[in-house]
Amino acid sequence: MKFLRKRVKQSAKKQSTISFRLNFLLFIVFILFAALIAQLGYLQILYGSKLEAEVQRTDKTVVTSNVPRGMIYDANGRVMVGNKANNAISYTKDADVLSTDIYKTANKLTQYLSVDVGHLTKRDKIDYYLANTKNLKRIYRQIPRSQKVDANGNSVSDKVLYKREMAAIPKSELKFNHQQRQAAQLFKIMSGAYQLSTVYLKNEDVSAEEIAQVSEHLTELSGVNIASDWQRSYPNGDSMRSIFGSVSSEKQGLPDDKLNTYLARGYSRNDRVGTSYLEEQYENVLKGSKAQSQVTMDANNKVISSKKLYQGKKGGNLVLTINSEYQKQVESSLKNVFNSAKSAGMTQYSNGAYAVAMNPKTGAILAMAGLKNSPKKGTTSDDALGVVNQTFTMGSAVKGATVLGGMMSGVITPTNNTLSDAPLYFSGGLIKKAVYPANTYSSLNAVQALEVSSNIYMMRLAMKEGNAKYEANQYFNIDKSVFAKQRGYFHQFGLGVKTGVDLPGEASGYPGPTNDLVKSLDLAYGNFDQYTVMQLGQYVSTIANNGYRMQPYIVKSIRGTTSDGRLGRVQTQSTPKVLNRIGSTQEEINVVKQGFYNVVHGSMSWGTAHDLKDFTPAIAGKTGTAQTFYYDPDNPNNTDPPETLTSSFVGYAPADNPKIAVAVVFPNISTNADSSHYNTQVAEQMFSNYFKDNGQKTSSGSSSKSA
Amino acid sequence: MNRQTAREARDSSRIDYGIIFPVMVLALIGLASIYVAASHDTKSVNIVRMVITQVIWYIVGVGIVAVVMQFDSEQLWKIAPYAYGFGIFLMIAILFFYSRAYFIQTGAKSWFALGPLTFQPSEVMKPAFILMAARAVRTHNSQYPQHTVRSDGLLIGKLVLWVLPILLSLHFQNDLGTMLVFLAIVGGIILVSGITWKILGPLIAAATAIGGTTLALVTTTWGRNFLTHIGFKAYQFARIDAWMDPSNDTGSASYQLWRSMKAIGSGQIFGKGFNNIEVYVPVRESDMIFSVIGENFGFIGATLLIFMYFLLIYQMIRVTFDTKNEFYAYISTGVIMMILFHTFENIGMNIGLLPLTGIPLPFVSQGGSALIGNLIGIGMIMSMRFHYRSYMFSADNEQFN
Repeated sequence: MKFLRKRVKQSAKKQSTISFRLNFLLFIVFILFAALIAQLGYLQILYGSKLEAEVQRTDKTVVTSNVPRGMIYDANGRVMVGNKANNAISYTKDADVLSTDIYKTANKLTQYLSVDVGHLTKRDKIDYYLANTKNLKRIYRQIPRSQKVDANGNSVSDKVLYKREMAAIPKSELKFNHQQRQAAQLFKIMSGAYQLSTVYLKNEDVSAEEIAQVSEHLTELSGVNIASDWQRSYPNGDSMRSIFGSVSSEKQGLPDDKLNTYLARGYSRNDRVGTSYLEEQYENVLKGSKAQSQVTMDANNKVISSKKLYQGKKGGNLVLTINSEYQKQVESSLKNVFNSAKSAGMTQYSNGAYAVAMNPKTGAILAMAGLKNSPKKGTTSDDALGVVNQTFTMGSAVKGATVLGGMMSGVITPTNNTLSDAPLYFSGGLIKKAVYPANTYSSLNAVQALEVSSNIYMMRLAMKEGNAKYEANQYFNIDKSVFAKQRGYFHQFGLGVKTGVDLPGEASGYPGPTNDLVKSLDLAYGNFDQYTVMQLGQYVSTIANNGYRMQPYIVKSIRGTTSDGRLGRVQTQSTPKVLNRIGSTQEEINVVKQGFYNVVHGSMSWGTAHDLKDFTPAIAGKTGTAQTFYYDPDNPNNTDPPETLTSSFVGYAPADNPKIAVAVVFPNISTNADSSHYNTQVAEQMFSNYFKDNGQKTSSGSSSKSA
Repeated sequence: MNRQTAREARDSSRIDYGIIFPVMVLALIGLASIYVAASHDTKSVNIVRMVITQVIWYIVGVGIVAVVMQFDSEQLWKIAPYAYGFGIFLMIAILFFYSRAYFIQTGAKSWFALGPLTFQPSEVMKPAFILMAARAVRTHNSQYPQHTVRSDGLLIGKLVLWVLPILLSLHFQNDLGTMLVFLAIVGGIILVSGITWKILGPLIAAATAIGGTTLALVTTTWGRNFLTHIGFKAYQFARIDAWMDPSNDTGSASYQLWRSMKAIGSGQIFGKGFNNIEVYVPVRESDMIFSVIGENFGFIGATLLIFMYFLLIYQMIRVTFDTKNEFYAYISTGVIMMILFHTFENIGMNIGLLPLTGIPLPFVSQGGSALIGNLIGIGMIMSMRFHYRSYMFSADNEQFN
């Protein structure tokens, strides 16, 4: 002791230094603590109420639940596309559910429920396996320490650790038995669900016993519920299925190509949406409004309350303009006539047959049918949609538009329209003439030209419109603008432009290249540009409707659902829409109408549709035959493709007050079928069935007669 | 017999209640807070067991205080090398026999595990080092009565040598927080040892400059580019970011801090009252125990707690003045620095003033070895007053100022 104190005594100065330094230390302590108190004051007094509000903040989340999709009815209220309700077992994922809880629920469920085990990836199995706490612990212990820490000795991130744990699972552990595979499948679905969202664990073939078993144990199975799901059903068979389109399943969810569009509109990724045609076009109507509940969660993500905001509304029902009976009749006419052509050996290169019937005054589609033939396989399939998305070279059927175009351009008038019918001779030996022998007629007026389907008349019209310079066998020149000029007139009728039909994926036709000026003459008689059958239907309707081009539509009205599940009140009624009126006077249109009438009823021997002459009510129309070539997709550059014919017909009846307009086409049938009149046969049946269905007397002439 | 009673009477007056009082208050606050933390733990823990365990640690700690205060300065002087040697031995042993389980949990190789009991040798290393450092300074100062730059440089060199093995061990244990504690202790002892301002001034200036530069480097983009260039890693910046803007990123690191700040801030002035917890804070019972106090007792309670620490430190300085013993002065400086650093860093990190490190709040946080380490320090301080009378009766007259 003395030793120590003696030393201390040695320097009084040191003592004073120590006490000063100790005071200095106390001062530092004071400063540091003051800093703490200042920060505390900042946090608790200045920002206290703000942080308190942050703590009290509750998250309000709106949770939606799906409603049944709207159905599709035909014009007479028959269900075309319905919903079949299925019993289902659903799972609603609560906020903050641990995977170990899901693991337990999934395992319990396998006692009461058997599910189809889809494709379980290795990852799915591993996730399930590691959700078991015991397994996780065991695997964790197996991993060498060096894998648990990085080079700095810090433990590796959870993600990396999980990867290493995944790798460490022995293969034998992942050989699941039946029960484990089932549980893994359930685990996969459950853990894949979003927080507070509902997914179906099983929505097909749920047995009554399963329902009973699960509902008995609902209290032990947190989140699991008995629910119902639906499936699209087609009580009227496959008729028009290609028009209805399809709906994605919950598993497929939103289609990839429109994912962002749908997400932006508030869809969830596993929502079922229409992926094609009517289902897609009317998705907004059919989907209905989801039920909404507001779930309130506190700052710790615990659900405090749930309040139903909106009950939800079943999707609107579509009522079609099409009568399913008539549709079936058109389908079978098309099929029968096609089959007879087939047995006559005329369909070697055929693309099939297409027809549309519409109300010319409103644009309402009465039937649309398509038969797609695969020349290679010799098989046919339903392709009603081909009416709007397939284009063909239609031939002379378009001549009504050519004549009215000539009148619109002023090169002919209703009173002065006679042109020479001498064939056109071009240098190099090319002769352009009609189907009848050269010089059958020296000249024709517009009505006659339509009746006998004079190509020469149409070409001469085009030449006049294009200020052509022509000297037989010598030279030919025509304004290049004649292409645009003619197409402009055609567009007024809907030929070469979209018709505006309420189906997605409509084609606007296919305009040919304009480098060869002589082709402008082919354009005039329908042997150049390609059109859809729907465009042909709109074109003939426009003439039948005295120049008013109507927008075709397939959905007549959108209606709600009554409480007992039947068609409810009309929500929206489609109103006929005039797209444009062609630039012709009624007088001019009457010339063409007369021509069309004479095609069927005329007396000239080269009239093209005299086989419909005896049909009542009277039909007016125009046939078309285009020289076409078979396009082989496997041999696209064939310089010498097989020659074919494309046979078409447009017409309307009754001729004086049209109620129905039809367009029929048999693309690429055999060149030998020139006189077979498949086109008029189908048309006649379409007319006759229509009038019969509507209680109107008809009598048909002999359709075997050929002109 | 007569002597015996006189001694007992003397004993009672030699107990330093000025130190016992704040420690007692802190212990009670600690037990209450651990109770609150345990009752609100998301994992179902045994609340009673958790509190009882802590009480037992206190009882053990009080026993240790009673033993340590029996040593007078001469005995402390003598045992210093042995304590230091034993501590170093433990610090080396820990590098080989650390608990693997705790390492995985915390990433630090700082724990011995004996069955359910765990023990952190660095906690007892602290008082042992304080003793050794105090002895070293005292010895040096008697050899070099005049402070010159040269002699003071030598003193600093000696202290650095003494602390170096500890820092190395801590580096390998991956325990940055405790390293900082030792640096704080060395800093405090250097300050009080009477080192000339000619060294102290530049030291402080250099520390300020380095700190400022570092701050500038990590908070600016060009600075970070530079640091990345010389080998720093992105996760190291992430920690700084978490500290600077905890509400921005509620990911792993800042999640804890932001939760703690929300808990404390929402306590506002008066707190939410005992056992009223609204915010979940991870590891609330140990490192984040201050969040419980801040949330339950508000600004007033938290300030009172800080005042308790200030009172404790003030009492330690007072007893140092009273006893006027140079060796003791260095010991109490070390203990003060230890408690000061723990308190400042822990509370500071709870309220977002300092980055997160694994440093418990003295006498309050759950955990045995830290408590024992701190109580050994308290024991050494209490030994001053306990043996003070014996100097008074001695012939020498000590003067402190």
